[in-house]
Amino acid sequence: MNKLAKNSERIITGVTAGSIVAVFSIILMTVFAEVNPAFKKWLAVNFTHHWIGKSVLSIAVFLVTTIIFTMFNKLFKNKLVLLLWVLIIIASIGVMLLLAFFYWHSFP
Amino acid sequence: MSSVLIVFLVLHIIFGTGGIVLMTAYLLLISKKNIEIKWLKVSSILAFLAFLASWIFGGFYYTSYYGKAVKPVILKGHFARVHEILMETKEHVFLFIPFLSLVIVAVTLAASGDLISDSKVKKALASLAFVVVGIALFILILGIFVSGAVGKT
Repeated sequence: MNKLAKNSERIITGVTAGSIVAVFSIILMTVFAEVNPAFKKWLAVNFTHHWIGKSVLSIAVFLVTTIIFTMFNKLFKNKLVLLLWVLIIIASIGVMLLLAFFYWHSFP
Repeated sequence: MSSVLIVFLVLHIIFGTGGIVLMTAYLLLISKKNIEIKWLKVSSILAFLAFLASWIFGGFYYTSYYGKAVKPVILKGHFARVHEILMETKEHVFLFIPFLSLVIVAVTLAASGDLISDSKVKKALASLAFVVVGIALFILILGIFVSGAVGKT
Protein backbone atom coordinates (compact mmCIF):
# COMPACT_ATOMS: atom_id res chain seq x y z
CA MET A 1 0.00 0.00 0.00
CA ASN A 2 1.46 3.41 -0.94
CA LYS A 3 1.94 6.43 1.37
CA LEU A 4 -1.27 8.14 0.23
CA ALA A 5 -3.28 5.02 0.97
CA LYS A 6 -1.66 4.71 4.39
CA ASN A 7 -2.55 8.31 5.30
CA SER A 8 -6.04 7.84 3.90
CA GLU A 9 -6.50 4.65 5.87
CA ARG A 10 -5.97 6.63 9.09
CA ILE A 11 -8.97 8.82 8.19
CA ILE A 12 -11.22 6.09 6.86
CA THR A 13 -10.64 3.85 9.88
CA GLY A 14 -11.55 6.88 12.02
CA VAL A 15 -14.75 7.49 10.01
CA THR A 16 -15.68 3.78 10.15
CA ALA A 17 -15.03 3.52 13.91
CA GLY A 18 -16.97 6.79 14.43
CA SER A 19 -19.91 5.37 12.46
CA ILE A 20 -19.89 2.19 14.58
CA VAL A 21 -20.19 4.29 17.74
CA ALA A 22 -22.84 6.55 16.12
CA VAL A 23 -25.02 3.58 15.08
CA PHE A 24 -24.58 2.05 18.53
CA SER A 25 -25.57 5.37 20.14
CA ILE A 26 -28.73 5.54 17.99
CA ILE A 27 -29.77 2.06 19.18
CA LEU A 28 -29.05 2.95 22.82
CA MET A 29 -30.80 6.36 22.67
CA THR A 30 -33.86 4.87 20.93
CA VAL A 31 -34.36 2.11 23.50
CA PHE A 32 -33.48 4.34 26.47
CA ALA A 33 -35.91 7.08 25.33
CA GLU A 34 -38.77 4.56 25.21
CA VAL A 35 -38.10 3.00 28.61
CA ASN A 36 -37.26 6.36 30.22
CA PRO A 37 -39.89 9.00 29.29
CA ALA A 38 -37.87 11.69 31.12
CA PHE A 39 -35.03 11.28 28.60
CA LYS A 40 -37.46 11.40 25.66
CA LYS A 41 -38.98 14.58 27.11
CA TRP A 42 -35.50 16.07 27.61
CA LEU A 43 -34.73 15.41 23.94
CA ALA A 44 -38.02 16.97 22.86
CA VAL A 45 -37.56 20.05 25.07
CA ASN A 46 -33.95 20.70 24.08
CA PHE A 47 -34.12 19.82 20.38
CA THR A 48 -37.80 20.64 19.56
CA HIS A 49 -38.47 16.93 18.81
CA HIS A 50 -37.05 13.69 20.25
CA TRP A 51 -36.17 12.45 16.74
CA ILE A 52 -34.24 15.64 15.97
CA GLY A 53 -32.50 15.23 19.34
CA LYS A 54 -31.39 11.72 18.45
CA SER A 55 -30.27 12.89 14.99
CA VAL A 56 -28.21 15.81 16.37
CA LEU A 57 -26.68 13.75 19.19
CA SER A 58 -25.76 10.89 16.84
CA ILE A 59 -24.01 13.37 14.50
CA ALA A 60 -22.19 14.90 17.50
CA VAL A 61 -21.14 11.43 18.71
CA PHE A 62 -19.95 10.59 15.17
CA LEU A 63 -17.89 13.78 14.81
CA VAL A 64 -16.24 13.53 18.24
CA THR A 65 -15.43 9.82 17.99
CA THR A 66 -14.21 10.14 14.38
CA ILE A 67 -11.77 12.89 15.41
CA ILE A 68 -10.57 10.88 18.43
CA PHE A 69 -10.17 7.64 16.45
CA THR A 70 -8.38 9.45 13.60
CA MET A 71 -5.95 11.15 15.98
CA PHE A 72 -5.29 8.07 18.11
CA ASN A 73 -5.56 5.32 15.54
CA LYS A 74 -2.85 2.94 16.73
CA LEU A 75 -5.56 0.59 17.99
CA PHE A 76 -7.11 0.42 14.49
CA LYS A 77 -3.95 0.25 12.40
CA ASN A 78 -4.57 -2.15 9.49
CA LYS A 79 -8.00 -2.96 10.97
CA LEU A 80 -10.18 -1.35 8.27
CA VAL A 81 -11.70 -4.63 7.08
CA LEU A 82 -12.48 -5.72 10.64
CA LEU A 83 -14.10 -2.34 11.37
CA LEU A 84 -16.22 -2.56 8.21
CA TRP A 85 -17.50 -6.00 9.25
CA VAL A 86 -18.21 -4.78 12.79
CA LEU A 87 -20.24 -1.90 11.28
CA ILE A 88 -22.15 -4.33 9.03
CA ILE A 89 -22.95 -6.62 11.99
CA ILE A 90 -23.96 -3.80 14.37
CA ALA A 91 -26.23 -2.18 11.75
CA SER A 92 -27.85 -5.52 10.83
CA ILE A 93 -28.40 -6.55 14.45
CA GLY A 94 -29.58 -3.01 15.23
CA VAL A 95 -32.39 -3.22 12.66
CA MET A 96 -33.64 -6.56 14.04
CA LEU A 97 -33.20 -5.39 17.63
CA LEU A 98 -35.22 -2.19 17.13
CA LEU A 99 -37.98 -4.06 15.28
CA ALA A 100 -38.16 -6.65 18.08
CA PHE A 101 -38.00 -3.93 20.74
CA PHE A 102 -40.88 -1.91 19.25
CA TYR A 103 -42.93 -5.12 18.82
CA TRP A 104 -42.38 -5.89 22.54
CA HIS A 105 -42.96 -2.25 23.49
CA SER A 106 -46.31 -2.13 21.61
CA PHE A 107 -47.92 -4.46 24.17
CA PRO A 108 -49.62 -2.57 26.98
CA MET B 1 -51.62 19.28 4.42
CA SER B 2 -49.95 22.28 2.81
CA SER B 3 -48.49 22.05 -0.68
CA VAL B 4 -44.99 22.57 0.77
CA LEU B 5 -45.40 19.48 2.97
CA ILE B 6 -46.72 17.46 0.03
CA VAL B 7 -43.64 18.46 -1.99
CA PHE B 8 -41.37 17.56 0.96
CA LEU B 9 -43.03 14.14 1.34
CA VAL B 10 -42.68 13.46 -2.39
CA LEU B 11 -39.03 14.59 -2.35
CA HIS B 12 -38.39 12.32 0.67
CA ILE B 13 -39.69 9.35 -1.34
CA ILE B 14 -37.92 10.34 -4.58
CA PHE B 15 -34.54 10.92 -2.91
CA GLY B 16 -34.88 7.76 -0.77
CA THR B 17 -35.71 5.63 -3.81
CA GLY B 18 -32.97 7.37 -5.80
CA GLY B 19 -30.51 6.52 -3.03
CA ILE B 20 -31.51 2.84 -3.26
CA VAL B 21 -31.04 2.84 -7.06
CA LEU B 22 -27.63 4.57 -6.80
CA MET B 23 -26.42 2.28 -4.01
CA THR B 24 -27.56 -0.74 -6.04
CA ALA B 25 -25.55 0.66 -8.97
CA TYR B 26 -22.53 0.94 -6.61
CA LEU B 27 -23.05 -2.67 -5.52
CA LEU B 28 -23.15 -3.88 -9.13
CA LEU B 29 -20.10 -1.77 -10.07
CA ILE B 30 -17.98 -3.02 -7.16
CA SER B 31 -18.97 -6.61 -7.93
CA LYS B 32 -17.44 -6.35 -11.43
CA LYS B 33 -14.03 -7.83 -12.17
CA ASN B 34 -12.68 -4.63 -13.70
CA ILE B 35 -13.72 -1.85 -11.34
CA GLU B 36 -14.28 1.61 -12.81
CA ILE B 37 -13.23 3.70 -9.82
CA LYS B 38 -14.62 6.94 -11.31
CA TRP B 39 -18.18 5.57 -11.47
CA LEU B 40 -17.83 3.96 -8.06
CA LYS B 41 -16.97 7.37 -6.62
CA VAL B 42 -19.82 9.09 -8.48
CA SER B 43 -22.46 6.53 -7.45
CA SER B 44 -21.35 6.47 -3.79
CA ILE B 45 -21.37 10.29 -3.49
CA LEU B 46 -24.76 10.63 -5.22
CA ALA B 47 -26.26 7.83 -3.09
CA PHE B 48 -25.02 9.50 0.10
CA LEU B 49 -26.39 12.92 -1.01
CA ALA B 50 -29.73 11.33 -1.98
CA PHE B 51 -30.08 9.63 1.44
CA LEU B 52 -29.07 12.88 3.16
CA ALA B 53 -31.73 14.82 1.21
CA SER B 54 -34.32 12.14 1.99
CA TRP B 55 -33.37 12.42 5.69
CA ILE B 56 -33.83 16.21 5.68
CA PHE B 57 -37.10 16.34 3.68
CA GLY B 58 -38.58 13.32 5.49
CA GLY B 59 -37.44 14.66 8.85
CA PHE B 60 -39.12 17.99 8.25
CA TYR B 61 -42.38 16.31 7.19
CA TYR B 62 -42.23 13.85 10.11
CA THR B 63 -41.49 16.43 12.85
CA SER B 64 -43.82 19.16 11.59
CA TYR B 65 -46.82 17.18 10.31
CA TYR B 66 -46.82 13.39 10.82
CA GLY B 67 -46.83 13.46 14.64
CA LYS B 68 -49.65 16.00 14.86
CA ALA B 69 -51.92 14.96 12.00
CA VAL B 70 -51.15 11.42 10.77
CA LYS B 71 -50.03 9.55 13.89
CA PRO B 72 -53.27 10.25 15.88
CA VAL B 73 -55.36 9.03 12.91
CA ILE B 74 -53.42 5.73 12.72
CA LEU B 75 -53.50 5.23 16.51
CA LYS B 76 -57.31 5.67 16.58
CA GLY B 77 -57.83 3.21 13.73
CA HIS B 78 -57.66 -0.58 13.41
CA PHE B 79 -53.95 -0.56 12.55
CA ALA B 80 -52.48 1.29 15.53
CA ARG B 81 -49.60 -1.16 15.75
CA VAL B 82 -48.47 -0.12 12.29
CA HIS B 83 -47.31 3.12 13.90
CA GLU B 84 -46.22 1.57 17.19
CA ILE B 85 -44.02 -1.07 15.56
CA LEU B 86 -43.35 -0.28 11.90
CA MET B 87 -43.19 3.53 11.89
CA GLU B 88 -41.17 3.65 15.12
CA THR B 89 -38.70 1.15 13.63
CA LYS B 90 -38.60 3.01 10.29
CA GLU B 91 -37.91 6.45 11.74
CA HIS B 92 -35.03 5.20 13.92
CA VAL B 93 -33.42 2.70 11.55
CA PHE B 94 -33.35 5.47 8.94
CA LEU B 95 -30.78 7.26 11.11
CA PHE B 96 -28.26 4.47 10.39
CA ILE B 97 -28.22 5.02 6.64
CA PRO B 98 -26.37 8.37 6.33
CA PHE B 99 -23.53 7.02 8.52
CA LEU B 100 -23.29 3.73 6.62
CA SER B 101 -23.31 5.44 3.23
CA LEU B 102 -20.79 8.05 4.42
CA VAL B 103 -18.37 5.21 5.27
CA ILE B 104 -18.83 3.85 1.74
CA VAL B 105 -18.07 7.31 0.29
CA ALA B 106 -15.04 7.82 2.57
CA VAL B 107 -13.49 4.43 1.81
CA THR B 108 -14.21 4.72 -1.93
CA LEU B 109 -12.82 8.26 -2.22
CA ALA B 110 -9.78 7.64 -0.08
CA ALA B 111 -9.02 4.31 -1.64
CA SER B 112 -6.38 4.45 -4.26
CA GLY B 113 -6.26 1.62 -6.77
CA ASP B 114 -4.39 -0.72 -4.45
CA LEU B 115 -6.99 -0.45 -1.71
CA ILE B 116 -9.92 -1.15 -4.03
CA SER B 117 -8.06 -4.07 -5.60
CA ASP B 118 -7.63 -5.52 -2.11
CA SER B 119 -10.20 -8.30 -2.27
CA LYS B 120 -10.95 -8.20 1.48
CA VAL B 121 -11.75 -4.45 1.44
CA LYS B 122 -13.73 -4.91 -1.77
CA LYS B 123 -15.80 -7.74 -0.26
CA ALA B 124 -16.45 -5.78 2.96
CA LEU B 125 -17.48 -2.66 0.99
CA ALA B 126 -19.79 -4.69 -1.26
CA SER B 127 -21.36 -6.28 1.84
CA LEU B 128 -21.84 -2.86 3.45
CA ALA B 129 -23.49 -1.56 0.26
CA PHE B 130 -25.72 -4.67 0.27
CA VAL B 131 -26.74 -3.96 3.88
CA VAL B 132 -27.52 -0.31 3.02
CA VAL B 133 -29.69 -1.39 0.07
CA GLY B 134 -31.41 -4.00 2.28
CA ILE B 135 -32.12 -1.55 5.12
CA ALA B 136 -33.31 1.14 2.70
CA LEU B 137 -35.65 -1.32 0.93
CA PHE B 138 -36.96 -2.45 4.33
CA ILE B 139 -37.67 1.20 5.23
CA LEU B 140 -39.39 1.72 1.86
CA ILE B 141 -41.68 -1.27 2.53
CA LEU B 142 -42.45 0.00 6.05
CA GLY B 143 -43.36 3.36 4.50
CA ILE B 144 -45.85 1.63 2.20
CA PHE B 145 -47.44 -0.09 5.24
CA VAL B 146 -47.72 3.25 7.07
CA SER B 147 -49.35 4.91 4.04
CA GLY B 148 -51.71 1.95 3.80
CA ALA B 149 -52.64 2.23 7.48
CA VAL B 150 -53.63 5.89 6.99
CA GLY B 151 -55.80 4.99 4.02
CA LYS B 152 -57.60 2.19 5.91
CA THR B 153 -58.59 4.23 9.00
